[in-house]
Amino acid sequence: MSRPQRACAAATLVLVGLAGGPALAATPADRAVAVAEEHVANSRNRPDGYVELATAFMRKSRESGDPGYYARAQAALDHALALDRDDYGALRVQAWVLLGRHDFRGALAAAERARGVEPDDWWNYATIADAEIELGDYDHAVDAAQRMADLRPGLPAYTRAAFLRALFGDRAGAVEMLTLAAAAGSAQDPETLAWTLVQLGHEHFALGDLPAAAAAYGRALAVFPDYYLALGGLGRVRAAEGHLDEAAALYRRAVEQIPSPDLLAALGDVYAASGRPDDAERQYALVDYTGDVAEAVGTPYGRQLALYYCDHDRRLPAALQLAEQEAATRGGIYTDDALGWALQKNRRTAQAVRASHRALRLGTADALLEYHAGVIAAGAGRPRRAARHLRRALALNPFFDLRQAAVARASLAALDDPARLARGETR
Amino acid sequence: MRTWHPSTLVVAGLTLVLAATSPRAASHREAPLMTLDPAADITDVYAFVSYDTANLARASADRKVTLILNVIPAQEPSSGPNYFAFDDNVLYELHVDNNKDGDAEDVIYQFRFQTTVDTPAQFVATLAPVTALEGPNAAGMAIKQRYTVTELRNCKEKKNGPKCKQKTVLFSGQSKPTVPSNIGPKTMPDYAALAAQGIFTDAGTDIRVFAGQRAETFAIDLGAVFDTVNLRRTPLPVETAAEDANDAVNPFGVNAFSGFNVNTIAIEVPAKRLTGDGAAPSAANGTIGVYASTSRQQVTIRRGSPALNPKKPPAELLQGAKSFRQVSRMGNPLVNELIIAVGKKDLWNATDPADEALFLDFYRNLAVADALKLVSGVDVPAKPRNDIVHLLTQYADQNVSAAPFSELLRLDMTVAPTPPASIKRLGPLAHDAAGTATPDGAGFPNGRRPNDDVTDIVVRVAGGKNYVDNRVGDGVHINDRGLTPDFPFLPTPYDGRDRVHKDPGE
Repeated sequence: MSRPQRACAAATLVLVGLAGGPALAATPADRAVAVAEEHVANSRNRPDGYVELATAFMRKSRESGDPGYYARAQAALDHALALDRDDYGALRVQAWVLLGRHDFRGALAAAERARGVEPDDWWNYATIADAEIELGDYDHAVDAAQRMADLRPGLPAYTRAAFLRALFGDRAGAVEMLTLAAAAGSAQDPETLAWTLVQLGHEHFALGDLPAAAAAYGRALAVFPDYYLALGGLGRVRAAEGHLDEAAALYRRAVEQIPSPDLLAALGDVYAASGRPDDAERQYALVDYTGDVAEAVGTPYGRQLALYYCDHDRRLPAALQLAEQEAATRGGIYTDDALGWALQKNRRTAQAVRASHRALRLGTADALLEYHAGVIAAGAGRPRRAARHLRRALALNPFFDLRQAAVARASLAALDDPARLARGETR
Repeated sequence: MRTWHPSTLVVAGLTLVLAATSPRAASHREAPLMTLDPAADITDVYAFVSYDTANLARASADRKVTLILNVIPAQEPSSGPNYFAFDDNVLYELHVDNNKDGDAEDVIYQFRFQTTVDTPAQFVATLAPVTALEGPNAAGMAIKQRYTVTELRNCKEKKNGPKCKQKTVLFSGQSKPTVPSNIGPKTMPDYAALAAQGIFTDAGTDIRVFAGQRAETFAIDLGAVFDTVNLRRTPLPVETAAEDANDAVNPFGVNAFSGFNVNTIAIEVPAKRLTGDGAAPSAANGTIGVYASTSRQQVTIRRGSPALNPKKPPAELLQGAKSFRQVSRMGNPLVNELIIAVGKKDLWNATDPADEALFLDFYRNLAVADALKLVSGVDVPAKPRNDIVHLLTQYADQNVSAAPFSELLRLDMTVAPTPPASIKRLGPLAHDAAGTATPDGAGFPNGRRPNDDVTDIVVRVAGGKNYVDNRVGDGVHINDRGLTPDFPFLPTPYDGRDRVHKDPGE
């Protein structure tokens, strides 16, 4: 028998104030927050209510994409730990909150501490796996995720299995896991199900299967309307299909909710491809503004910003600085990739080559990684290696990026010509 | 519709993102941690000698026993366009121990589901009125689900699941349709008649089955019970003898599940098929132990070398072929909720009940009894609570100082069923309005019937004699659909259009 699903109407009213902005309908996370706040009010001397509240804020942050809820979750946890510094419920959730705040080393330490208390709780292996993935320790991540999957097969384990399989080049296996995960999802928890379907869409997109990707994003929007991740995914598909107006409309709906730099830049790229340079520049200016703020207070979007600067040949020294900052707190192949790309753009070729090798060390089938490797190899005077990477990028997914895919094709053509000439072929 | 004003909206939104007090947040590939998994979430298990007119009339040797497994809790009936189905990737099982060794692998019933989408483009769940589960009169349903039932006998637990001496797929291996969610009177003009078509009898074994939606009969003041047993009435005695004896009225509690539905798997088996020797139930062979489980597929994260061609579709079908791991189990009610500690609940769910010895300290130290004492100030029995260990993990003739310990719902099949009009929610603790005992031996903890008030029984057993004498309870006696006298013994589900959430008489 599960927790009650009914929420207190009065508490829901309070929430509208909490969410701020326009009066939106209460979501499942809103209701969870309301119920938890009621429990906290009823028993302020026990940690359980605060842990429940922290959990509800974490759900809310996922649902809304608003990282401000992480701070509220932490505040609730601080209350719980002040009441009992060894409260197990608080310890296990602490790792989750630290993951959200990108304190991956802190998250790993918290998760290990919780595992010391309860070595048979699958949750602790999930948080360990997540932290190890972000820190780039993939063997330990696989061990933890496998332990988690053995203890509790289900949507959380299947989604982590999918991510790790994709990292190790097993994209078909990732699709299999995400299909299983989506089947285990529930309309009673729409954000989780929609998130899973968005990942399924991303896997299909990574292999250039636009119809399958669109179908997955569409299912996500059906269970969780206006989900910004699904709108962004579908926008990318429509742009790849050449439906630029539709793509722009989808991206606009997405940034209306979460104006993250990657979504704004993508909208700008769609405008640029539509022959609307002024509109494009307006979006890019907003991303630049994000970067200005990032310089002052730091940013969760370091990787996205660095890639954006490099892709658009803007603020290249800042791009490298962001990528280096990111690499200081975060490991993993995507950090190496961003770093390599920023090094390349700053003409530090030898270091770029090394970073690019690290980015490809798992054999991940990812067009963007291959594209970056190709351009870096070309810059390093390795035209045949460069052509191989670029061909692989375009074979994996000819639509991998609205701007960069065209650059990849042009670079490949330029590389192929001298290669033919060198072999004595005539045009 | 809001119109889009790029500058104001986006800048306002940016400020929201950037004003976050945490400078490093969001924007990585955060996989979910919370899991509701309702399709594998066992809400309740029932086991009882059937009390329909036909079975009451049978000689005791020929009586039948009903086993029920409910999943997908707290279904809001008006949940269109997403209604409630079993999960094709979950293995649903009911396990029976018939030789008192605690290993419930003597008889196992397995249920596997398969969903077909006939009209994928159809947005609403149904178009034309649905008056049949199959054929042209079922054509309105876009999605249909069918299931197979397998009986396994004399099994031994192995690493990759049970190995059994005997396996029978009922209905000669044919699948049967499930009964869909009750959408509303226009879509399903006579839902009761539609659901009745979903009861199937296997000729070879005389087993009846049903799988589909039902109304929730488990009634509890959940908000009060889980707020550290913060019941809404505390002066003792909590209920008068007359209130406590009235099974038709909820004197003060609020039923958290009124108006909600569940998904039910029900199977009715001749008692002789459940005894160890195949003979009619007797004092020697007539007591069985039952639990239900749901299992999900095990996965291996790194499958050897990476796929050579990443565009290749998944090699094997997800269904069927793989080994499963138990993710939820239930024998007696409220064990996971009230006895097992946070942090051990998932492990408990994954453990075979025959290994209950791992968890016996939670029974001996029964924390919920402490909570009762805290709230009411009335003394509870001293620890260790061997009475609780014995009641929930052993057969009556076993000794609490020695194994086996297995958390099973135990049913003495030789006890005759109580006719519906005489069924008492308090079972063996039942009494009349004057307080004189009128025990109903066919109810929990002798098996469990859908309308047994397990909350009040558990609270009183946990609290001991003082709580029995003071008739402590949550003030919720029954759901507003009452008792259902025929298989599958659970009421017609609330329909999506006209659902209400109320207590009887409200």
